[in-house]
Amino acid sequence: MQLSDEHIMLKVCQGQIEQLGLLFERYHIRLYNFYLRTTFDEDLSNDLTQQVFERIIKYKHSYKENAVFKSWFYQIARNVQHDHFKKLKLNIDSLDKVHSEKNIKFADNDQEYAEKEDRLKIMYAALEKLPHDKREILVLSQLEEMEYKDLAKLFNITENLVRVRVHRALQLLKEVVQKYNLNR
Amino acid sequence: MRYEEIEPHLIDFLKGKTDEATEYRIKDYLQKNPEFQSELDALKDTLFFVKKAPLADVKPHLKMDFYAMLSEAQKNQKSKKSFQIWLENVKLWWTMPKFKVAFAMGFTLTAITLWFAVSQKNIQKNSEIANKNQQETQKVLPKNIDTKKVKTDKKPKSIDDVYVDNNKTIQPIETKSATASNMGEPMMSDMAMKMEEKSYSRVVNKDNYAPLDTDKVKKIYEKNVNLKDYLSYIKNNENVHQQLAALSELEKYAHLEEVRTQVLAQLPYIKNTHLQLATVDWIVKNNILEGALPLNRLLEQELHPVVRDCVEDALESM
Repeated sequence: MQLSDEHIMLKVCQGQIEQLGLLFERYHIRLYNFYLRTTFDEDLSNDLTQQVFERIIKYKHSYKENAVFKSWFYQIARNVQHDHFKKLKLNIDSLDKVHSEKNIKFADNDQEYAEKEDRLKIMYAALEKLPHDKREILVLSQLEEMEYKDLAKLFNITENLVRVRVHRALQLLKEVVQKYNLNR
Repeated sequence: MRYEEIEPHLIDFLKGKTDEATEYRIKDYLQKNPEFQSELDALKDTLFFVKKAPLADVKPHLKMDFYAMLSEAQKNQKSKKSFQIWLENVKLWWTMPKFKVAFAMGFTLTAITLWFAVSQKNIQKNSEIANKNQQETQKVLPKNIDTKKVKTDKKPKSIDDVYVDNNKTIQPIETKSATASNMGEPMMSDMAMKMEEKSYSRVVNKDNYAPLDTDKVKKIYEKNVNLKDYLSYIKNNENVHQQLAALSELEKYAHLEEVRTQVLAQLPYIKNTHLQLATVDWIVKNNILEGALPLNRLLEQELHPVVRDCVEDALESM
């Protein structure tokens, strides 16, 4: 039987830091993709992912026993992202301008990845057209599959408002996809 | 049914995750607004488009970096002392607004408690100083003078009583009443005789009295001085012992106008508590009614409570 994220995190809090490896295995790809879909920068996503786990080790005692790990985890992820742009004295909304001309590079150039690469590029192109806040909530809800109640806690808004915002973000994405004929 | 009401549930509807009531409401809305169906289909396509997007692969060094970091953290954790962990926690708590409020409240309470404790300590200290001063004052004054007794007895205490059991360094000077002595012939007190035998080797309390000039005191008691000298000792001498001795010997001349005038004239200017008491006693003993005026003048000064009581009693007895 697989241990829950919360259970593992509690063990980490109790000093069993090596248990964090399990959480890393479960979340690092999703976290990396969350950053990639919101910043469109591979190196930056890599660094930020690393920083999140560093921060978890540093602030492991801030995790509350009855908290949902995923919410706490993405809260740290958002804070790391905000701190990064704050450090560079950049507004997070300026991401679109910063990375608009940056091409996403893929490690593998094999044939089997060609289709995957193509689809990702299309999606990034569509997401890139969204404002950061809409992009973030859409990625967290539909791609990271976070529950509405967890998102409500994360964004400090009501669950109903989360639903509305996700719907509006999706609607905007729909318009972008239709406008640029990306849905091939 | 309004669009705003179904809007929050549209994505769940597309995923087939809505409850029956909501599904019914959305379907009802679609029935009434068929043009919305195309909108919903487009939304479903977009959702599918998002969902089918694969996850990008991470770079291999991310994993390596993480495990290197984890290994380092494990090493650090072992070497980390409990104090450092505590400090980290405090730093962490400090970032929480509730902790800041709690800390501010705690700090305020501590400050108030400290202030209260310090103020109480100061009050206690002041009280101790006051008690000490009072004890010192009592030490300077004769111990056997009971102010209550002075009041109830309505009789001024004699200078003999004042000096009995007083500071051991000051020997009592016992006087003889003028009525008991042979009139016209100076009488030596018993103490004076003792002093003669001991060659006047008394030790004087330095704090209250000038060093005792034994020769002069001896002269006084040996009656080797005349009346003018006695008066001179009363007036122009700073040595309380000599003044007291002279005052004692002057009792036999109390009937003389000159002596009474001189002693009474000095009374308001006497600062020494013992001499004040002795002089008041002298006036009462010799029943000098003219003493009322200088006694009243003495009362205008700042007096020790015992002296004040004695003076008031003396005035009453006149």
